[in-house]
Amino acid sequence: MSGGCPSRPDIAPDMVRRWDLARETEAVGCPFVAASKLHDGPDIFFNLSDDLRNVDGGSWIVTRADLQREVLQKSELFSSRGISGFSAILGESWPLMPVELDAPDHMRYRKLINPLFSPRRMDEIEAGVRESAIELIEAVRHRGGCEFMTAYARELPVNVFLRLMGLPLAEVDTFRKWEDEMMHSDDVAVRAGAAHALKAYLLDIIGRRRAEPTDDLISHLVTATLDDRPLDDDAVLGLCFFLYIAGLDTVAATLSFIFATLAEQPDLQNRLRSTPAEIPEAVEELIRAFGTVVTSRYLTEDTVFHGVAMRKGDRVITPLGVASRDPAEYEDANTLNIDRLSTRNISFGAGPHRCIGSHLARREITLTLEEWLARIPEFRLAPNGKPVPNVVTVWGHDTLQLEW
Amino acid sequence: MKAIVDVGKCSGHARCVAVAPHVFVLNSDGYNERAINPVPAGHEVEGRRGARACPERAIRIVEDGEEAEAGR
Repeated sequence: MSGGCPSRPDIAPDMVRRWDLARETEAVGCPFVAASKLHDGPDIFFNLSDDLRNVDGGSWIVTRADLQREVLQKSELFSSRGISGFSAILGESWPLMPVELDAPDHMRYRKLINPLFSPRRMDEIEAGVRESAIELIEAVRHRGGCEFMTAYARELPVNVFLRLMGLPLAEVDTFRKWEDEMMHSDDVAVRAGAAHALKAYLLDIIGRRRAEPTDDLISHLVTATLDDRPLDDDAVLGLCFFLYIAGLDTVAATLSFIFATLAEQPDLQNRLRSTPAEIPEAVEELIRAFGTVVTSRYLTEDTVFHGVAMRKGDRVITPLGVASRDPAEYEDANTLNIDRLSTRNISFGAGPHRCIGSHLARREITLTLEEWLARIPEFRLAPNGKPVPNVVTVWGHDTLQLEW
Repeated sequence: MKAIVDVGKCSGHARCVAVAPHVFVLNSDGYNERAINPVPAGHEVEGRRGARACPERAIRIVEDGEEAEAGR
């Protein structure tokens, strides 16, 4: 608690808090359990802490699942402009597409790529993704253990991105290095260097696909038209960058919680191993329980939202992992229960910006469990194998040492 | 029984079709195009589960004898 916010005397002091997720997570060992404690407090509060990329002296945090849904659905009031700040890393100012666009532009670009990520399209690419998964699992199968994040969770999504894009799988190490430097380096110059290298690589491919289109995603983008005009390189680049960034950490982080949970719950692990038909439904509960993404919006006008007076330009944060544990939405929300009647969740967001990769992520997680559990015997955490999760951006384990 | 889909609110989670493939139909973008109405006999439980699965709360079930107030 604090004595209010000096720069915002308009906000009642009892609405102002200093919620430090990293510290709370450290205390209880799990960001979701830490997050669930917010439900003992107000539905919306003004947070002064430095975490959650909270840079402008404070942001609103919306805790309840139904209110988060409403924020994400009302995109005309809660804008996505500038929410990632990604191009700023390069000292540039183009939007990540379409995630940082608002209506009506957002839906125009979104419609271009929706068919490429529909459930039907995922049926077509699933066999290739499964092939990558099996290859990675077979590489560790006889080793008796592995550091799961390096051996699998970060590797698979890069493979999937390269397959989607039609880029050579041999580039996997290069793309992993760029991702690691861009998203995880503390050094601004290293982050910018990787982003520039990726940009140059993509521009080269974009040029080549313009000259000679194939059946891959980049070719689809360079041959697509909007208002009878082809997309320019900036638009194609914005879309490619976004698809690269969005699908890597998120899937890896979600897998990190799922595998830590299975390692700690041998009954659940063995139930899914012996009845793989239950895996798809179980994945819904796992996704419900582990919303790893913290997204945000900016107010487009002064408003009173559920009794809270907010100002134009205020940042509103919706940590989806807090909605994951909302007792008003889920009975016994902190307990994982694959027999739960309703696993309806907003772990992939809600409203027009609903995660476009949600169907791909579900396939990656589902087929990972199917292939892993069929090939690897009962596994457990290695001693000291599960560190406290990282909550700086996407919530997830940096490392996870498993043994079997 | 009818399933009323607010297609303007649908954002393509596609949970309805995953849970109730005999009741809901997706378009080529993967968004809910329509419900099969009336819900095919024998698939009422499936239809209710499909509606409940919608993260946007964009689907309403109207039981026989109830009035559909809005939507289609």
